[in-house]
Amino acid sequence: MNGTDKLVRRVVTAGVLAAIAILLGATRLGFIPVPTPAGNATIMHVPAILGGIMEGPAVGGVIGLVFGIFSFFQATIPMFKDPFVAILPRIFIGITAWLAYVALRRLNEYLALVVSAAVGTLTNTVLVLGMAVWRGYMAPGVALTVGITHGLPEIVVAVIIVVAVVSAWKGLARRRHARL
Amino acid sequence: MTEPLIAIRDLHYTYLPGTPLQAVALRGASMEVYAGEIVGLIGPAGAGKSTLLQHCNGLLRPTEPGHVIVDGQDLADPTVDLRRLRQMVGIVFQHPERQLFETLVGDDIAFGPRQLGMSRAEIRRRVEWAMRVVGLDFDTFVDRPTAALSGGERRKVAIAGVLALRPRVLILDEASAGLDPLTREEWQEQVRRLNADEGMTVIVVSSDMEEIAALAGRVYVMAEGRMVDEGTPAEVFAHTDLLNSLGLGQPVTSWVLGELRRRGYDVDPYAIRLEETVEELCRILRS
Amino acid sequence: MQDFALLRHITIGQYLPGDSFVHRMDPRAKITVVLLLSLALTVNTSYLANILLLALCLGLIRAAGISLRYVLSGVRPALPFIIALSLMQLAFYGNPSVTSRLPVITFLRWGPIFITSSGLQLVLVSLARFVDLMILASILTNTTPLAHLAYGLEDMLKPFGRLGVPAQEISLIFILALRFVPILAEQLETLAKAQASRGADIGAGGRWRFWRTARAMLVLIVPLFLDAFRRAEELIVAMEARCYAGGRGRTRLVQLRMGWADGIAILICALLAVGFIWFRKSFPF
Ligand SMILES: Nc1ncnc2c1ncn2[C@@H]1O[C@H](COP(=O)(O)OP(=O)(O)OP(=O)(O)O)[C@@H](O)[C@H]1O
Ligand SMILES: [Mg+2]
Repeated sequence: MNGTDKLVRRVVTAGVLAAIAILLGATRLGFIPVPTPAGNATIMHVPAILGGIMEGPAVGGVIGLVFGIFSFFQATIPMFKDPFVAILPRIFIGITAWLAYVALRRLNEYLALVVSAAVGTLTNTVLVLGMAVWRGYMAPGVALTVGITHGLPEIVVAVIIVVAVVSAWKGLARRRHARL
Repeated sequence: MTEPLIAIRDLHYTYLPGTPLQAVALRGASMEVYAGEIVGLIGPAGAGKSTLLQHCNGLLRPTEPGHVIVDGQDLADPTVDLRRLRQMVGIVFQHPERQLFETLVGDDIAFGPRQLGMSRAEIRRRVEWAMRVVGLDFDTFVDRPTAALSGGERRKVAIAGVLALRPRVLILDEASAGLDPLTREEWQEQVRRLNADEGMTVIVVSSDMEEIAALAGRVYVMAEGRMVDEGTPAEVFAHTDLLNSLGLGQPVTSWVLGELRRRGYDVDPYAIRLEETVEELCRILRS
Repeated sequence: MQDFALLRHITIGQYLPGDSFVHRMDPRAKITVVLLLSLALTVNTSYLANILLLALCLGLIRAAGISLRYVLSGVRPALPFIIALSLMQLAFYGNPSVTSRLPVITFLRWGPIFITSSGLQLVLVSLARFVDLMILASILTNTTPLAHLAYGLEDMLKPFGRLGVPAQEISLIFILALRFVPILAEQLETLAKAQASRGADIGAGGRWRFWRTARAMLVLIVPLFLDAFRRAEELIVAMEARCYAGGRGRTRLVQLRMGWADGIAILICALLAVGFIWFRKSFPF
């Protein structure tokens, strides 16, 4: 594969995954009800993680950027109507997810997927809340509470989805036989 | 005469009413389907065929005047048991191969029965049966990853997934679009067998008039949200002017017979089955 | 999930056609103006600066002929949440880094609760900033077709191309994403109907067993991603066949044109922004 082919592949993959991020945000599908005060765990950042895993940090970063811009425009609460909170942190989701994935891929594909989904999600939670504290929307204590009650369910959900999508696409079968 | 299994009476439906995107899809459509039939439904794009059929298993609910009665039950009733209804009426959509989500073939086909909480043995029996019906060998395919299948095989898996619910009514909404001619013949044979051997009632939507002529015992023609014609394939396909005005084609046989009649030959315009047409042609050649 | 049609009809940045001065502005000028004003907003924390900026934004939205009620219509469902967050901000954030020349008055100090006048200022300024940004965002998305925004962005990123920023690729990604959203939305609607026909119960699991909800949603999410990947592969093959080689030398349908009015608007906003940023610490209150 030469350089041009790779470029085309990256651009197109980033385009469709960014579209899914937007789609998840625009329908209720991107939000999973969880028993924490905030009410919903978002999975809108999952396309950025997948982009990082499949096509590297640049693709993961751009998808995060599109997701961030979209969530900035869609925001209906003050915190997320701040580009420092809504956009900037999102760029790093796909990058850290990629780092985790390449670091562990040789060890075990599944482990790499699980950790990478968790790391990408944590990046989102930690950076967004960190920015919120820095910009004065939240006191540190509040942010920590939100981070834990919110981050944990979000990690669980992201891991489930990332593992399912990548194994379906690559045809990795966890089981040899159907459960029949 | 017996009660129809599905009766749709004067059904109206509007998508997203009261918004700028409002689209009137049904304007008083009526249709009856009797147990054991194969009914064809044709019409130009946007005629409302899919909208009509999605009422049959409760994907869309009647909100405006009109009734949808399935097996004696009026679906306007909000207490209808959707789970039972969807088990009874199965829909295969266009490009069904795109709906696979499990990693292994067997698991994907077993999804429906599992949702219904059936026993393991029963689920396995149904999967075996469904795979046999669509022509996938159980032992060869059951443990294959779905990602490793060809497009045609994926489609068979998806259709088996609907059949595994053992619906009494099978709705095929452009389910055969994009099949190559050979697979198409095999497919039509399977549909016919499901109808004849398993007693499944079938509703086929297709833009392939040959397929409608080959399968359906009765055909409805739909345009702008209502029925504009109904009859046996031979009758419907003889109405050349109506079909032309709707931009719908005819099966080749029907077209040939029509052309011959226009040129003054005395042929039977209803002899649209291939053997019958050949018979007619031989007759006029002899005379 | 009862209303499947809602999956398909999503609005991203509903363009409201019009013929105001704001509508006719060049998208690049609009993006520049919005960026400049956002920057000014971000660094100003005084009451006076925020009142002035709010007045400016209200003037802009008026000029665009869009009602403030429309701009803020999306906020209503989030209102209880906003109030709760603001109260928390007020209660726990007693000593924020607000640059203000006013003396800090402590209203209440009790356990972790610490309410001061500068905390109150922070809350009020955040709310004003929020309204400003709702307006600025609306100016971009409600008065400009999305494609024009993407083209404008592409042009504005071009100078960074020399620094290795793939400007045209990034804007192509935006354009592709916008093109794919309605296609994938329609696919999502069909998928939801197909899986519901097989007895899928999307949304089952409930709040407490959220992993079940997530697993139940895989019947939609997995095929949605697979379909997107498949479409991507098709497009890649098509683009390679047509020898797409990056953005260079591509021509496009929409040609953007800057007029003198655009220049003046940028100039005024640039001066305002510089003024607001330079004097951010000098506002009397
Ligand atoms: N989910 C939807 N939201 C809004 N409008 C819709 C939706 N689905 C269909 N429509 C509109 O309803 C009308 C009927 O559409 P329908 O899909 O039932 O027609 P059809 O006969 O199945 O057409 P086709 O042959 O193209 O599948 C069309 O005008 C269509 O634009
Ligand atoms: Mg249709």
